Amino acid sequence: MNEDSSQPGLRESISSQAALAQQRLKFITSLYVAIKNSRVFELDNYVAVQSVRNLLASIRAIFESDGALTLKVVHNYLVLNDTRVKADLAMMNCYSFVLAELQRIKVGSLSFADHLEEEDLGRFIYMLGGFEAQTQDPFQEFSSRVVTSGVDGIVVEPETKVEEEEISEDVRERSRDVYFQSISVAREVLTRAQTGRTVNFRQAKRVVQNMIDVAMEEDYFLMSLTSIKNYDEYTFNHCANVCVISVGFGQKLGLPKLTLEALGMGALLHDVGKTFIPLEVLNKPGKLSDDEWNLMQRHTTMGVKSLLKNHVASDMLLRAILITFEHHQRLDMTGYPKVDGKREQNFLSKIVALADCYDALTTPRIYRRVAMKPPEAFRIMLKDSGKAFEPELLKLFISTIGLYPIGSLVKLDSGEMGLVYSVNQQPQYIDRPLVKVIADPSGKLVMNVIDLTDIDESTGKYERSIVDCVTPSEYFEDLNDYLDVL
Amino acid sequence: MTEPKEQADTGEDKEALAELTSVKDLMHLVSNAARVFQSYPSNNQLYLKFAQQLGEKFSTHLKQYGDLTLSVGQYELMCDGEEVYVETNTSRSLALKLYRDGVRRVRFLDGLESEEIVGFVEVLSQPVASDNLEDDIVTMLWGKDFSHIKYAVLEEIPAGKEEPSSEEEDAPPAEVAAESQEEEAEAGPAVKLEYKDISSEVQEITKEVKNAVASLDEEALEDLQKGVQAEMESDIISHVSLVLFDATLVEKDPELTASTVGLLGQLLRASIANGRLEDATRVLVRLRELTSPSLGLSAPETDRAKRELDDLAELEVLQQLAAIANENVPERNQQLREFLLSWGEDAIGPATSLAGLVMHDKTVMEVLVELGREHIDLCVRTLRDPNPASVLVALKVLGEIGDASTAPHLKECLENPSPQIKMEAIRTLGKLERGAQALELLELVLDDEDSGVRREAVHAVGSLGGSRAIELLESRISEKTFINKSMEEKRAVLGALAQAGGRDIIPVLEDILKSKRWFRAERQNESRACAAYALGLIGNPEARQVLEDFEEDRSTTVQAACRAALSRIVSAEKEKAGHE
Repeated sequence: MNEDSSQPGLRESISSQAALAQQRLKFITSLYVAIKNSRVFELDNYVAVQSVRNLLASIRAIFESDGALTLKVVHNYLVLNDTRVKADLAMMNCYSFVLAELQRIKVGSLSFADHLEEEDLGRFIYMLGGFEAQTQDPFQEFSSRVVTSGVDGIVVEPETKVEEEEISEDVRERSRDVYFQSISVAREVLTRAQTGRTVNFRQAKRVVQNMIDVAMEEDYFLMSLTSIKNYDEYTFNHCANVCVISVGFGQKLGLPKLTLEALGMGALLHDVGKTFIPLEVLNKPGKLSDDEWNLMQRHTTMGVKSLLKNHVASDMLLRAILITFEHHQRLDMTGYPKVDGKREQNFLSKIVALADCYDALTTPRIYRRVAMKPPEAFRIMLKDSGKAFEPELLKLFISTIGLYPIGSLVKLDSGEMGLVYSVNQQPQYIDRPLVKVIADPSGKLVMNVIDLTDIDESTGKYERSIVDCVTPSEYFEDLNDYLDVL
Repeated sequence: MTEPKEQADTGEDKEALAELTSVKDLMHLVSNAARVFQSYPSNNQLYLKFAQQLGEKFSTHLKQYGDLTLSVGQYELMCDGEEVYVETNTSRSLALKLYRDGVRRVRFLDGLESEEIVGFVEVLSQPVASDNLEDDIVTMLWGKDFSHIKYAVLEEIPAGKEEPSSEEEDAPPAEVAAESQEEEAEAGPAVKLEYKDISSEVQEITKEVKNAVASLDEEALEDLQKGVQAEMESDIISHVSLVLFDATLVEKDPELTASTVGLLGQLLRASIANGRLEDATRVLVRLRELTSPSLGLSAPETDRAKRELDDLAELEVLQQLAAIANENVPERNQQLREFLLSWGEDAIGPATSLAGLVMHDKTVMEVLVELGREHIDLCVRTLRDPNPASVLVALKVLGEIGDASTAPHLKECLENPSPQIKMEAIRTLGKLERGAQALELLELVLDDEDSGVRREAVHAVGSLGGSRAIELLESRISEKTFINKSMEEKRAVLGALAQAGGRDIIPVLEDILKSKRWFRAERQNESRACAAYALGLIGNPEARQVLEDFEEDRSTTVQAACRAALSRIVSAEKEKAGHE
């Protein structure tokens, strides 16, 4: 929802972009199918004709709503009519394929004209699908062929260095709002639970709903806020971070909106039971005794007890109960609470368990004053793959969060300091995100976005690589400065 | 609603007035549609008509006048400062529904799709409890994902913007000291917060993680997608009931048990109310498990679970189950059967009441018989139910079970003033195995003043069979007054005799057929006709021969009876041949 300037305290809902997003995804899928079919069938084959026809229909549908269609490759993303196309799990294959096809020919953009005919589109697709570069300049070779073939209605442009893709101030503002609101709500909810009062689920739901709205529009900035680790406000901050990370990952998995809401609520409330654990146990810096450890483990069941207070059964509550109870049980059920009989973690619990573990490992704690860097945390989590976490889900989680998550401060081998701006969606480039350089080797403030997959043509090697990850508090004296550069 | 201004001086005023009138019409339509949507299913003709009208009228209005903005008051909706809807009845007011949940403005944008406005009105037609802290109008609107309807909501969220600071004024919250056992460290108090220095290892770690993630190929993604899909279709109620059960056993805390059992009860009743018997069965199983002493829960805890199960016997729940039984669909019958069987012996009482409520009682009766065989005492107990319908069901069940030990408990029913109960008890006695005791009881009603009861009694005696039964029936025939009995009663006695004695009784029946008298000949012919009927029931060649011998009897009554009996034998033989 958007804050309403005419009336303070009033927020207006955001018009759903779901239909438009679907249209864009349909275009990418049709393009994927058409290229794939061009490698199997002759141009006049019924299947091939049909797939080109479907592609043309999806192009025309976009023309109807947007009046134009330009597909660009910006860094490692597909951008359609200036909107980044977001691919969930179901779309990942198509997305990666189309992106790789355009990148291999070094195509920067494809523009389609409204007078495009089926025949021209078909010939173009067959040229694209069957193209094998013979020279060092694949784009030049490909575009010449397009021109000489007389294909009308499609304009091909080469790759260009694209500057930082601006996230609107409105989105930044809403992301910040919703992030800090989620911390406030976590504080409110946990405090109420501690004093035995009824938890105001509605308030928490509003925050989660706003969070999902923001994430659906632009999740990168929101995710970057989870790099804020607040030692003193650990539990509240942790609940908010787990919520944002879970919602972001759930979105990647293609979960429907209402399931995302349940996931977000469960994540926000997952540690509500900790309010019942004595502070001397919670804040104990050293190793816990067996009794203390047993008590600590009870936070999951105490969380369930707290959620059960004065609430009617709803799908959301049921899922929150599952998450609260199961988030420490591990995939092999060797975690806690220990239960008899064959049991399996719920899918949403598995997601929250990943987000919970990741955020806990990368945050300094009273018993472990030095936090792990994200790559180290992922290494630890991978060691538990198949035991604590479902292997494929963990891999996708890491690939979504990124080896260097959005918002991470990184040192480059060039001596520059940068902020991870966007994660590379292709697993082989997981260590090569987009980075916003914020300081040159001399420490002078700069602001430009670079792609770590860029290769220095003279050496054939990557122009820059990450050599280390730095804690924001180490670099920024005031975390507000960090927020400003995010 | 306020009346439109009486006079419109300028063209602009006229336009504004026309727009206002159009908005009022739309609100009137929304109000009526909400009522219809509340009362009828979405495939109902009236529902469909209103849905169509909503789409058409909103589209026309928005095309003509552009976006429509409504301000939401407590009981009224306003457009450009004019009241366009008002309803002060709190249960009916659509404005109040929106207002109560913080909605203060609604905007309908040009391009509004029919499904969107129908979806919006569907949300307004939902009953929402004022104390519901969960599902509210805003959540329902949010879930609909509208493209052309916007709503502004009063913020309930606490002041959100709090800048990160390492020196918060609030006391530090409760924190966890260990996320996992492996994580526990022996660290001193925190001095400086920083990342663990792994700069020397970054390349190695990067390679390791990258290699692991790189194996996320197309196939793995497809598997994950299937996993997501399976999860979305998974049975959450079953899973939650397991978790609540586990939580109860882990904590063994009476307060938690009360809450979990309470929620299980809610889930159980909600599942039944929604007709989701498979879910209900799973929850029921957990609740029953919680009543088991072997789990080590305290007596108050198990009692709490028992009370929740006892509540299932409420009439409202039974009526919901009856509605499912009355659907009489094989799959649903099977679900009902599994549900009742999972309820175990505790289902006997409620299911007996349930059988009295349903039109198609086959499934429920089968379950009662199955459960009753193991818990005959509980079945017998239902004979004392104050509801006569339940007593009748119990008698039928006991008859199907046929356990001879229940005979003494039926005596009370034989004395019941209700002829229906008395007759059902007689039928039940007639179905018991090893009938000595049953025969003794039946003797008590063989001379009942009600001829219907008497007939049922001789039929029951015949069903039990055996020498004592034959003896009892023959003694009735030999009574001098037998000839004066009604045709129906005589037929019942001779029919019962045939059933009890079979072929051995043919000579007795033949004797009756042969016996002729001048005095009260018609009465005697009635008895002879009843003997013919009984021979027809036996139906073997010997009986057939006797009937053929009397087919041309001088008495037309006897003639007709013999021919009818022979015809029945032929039909039965044909039917038998057909089956073979």
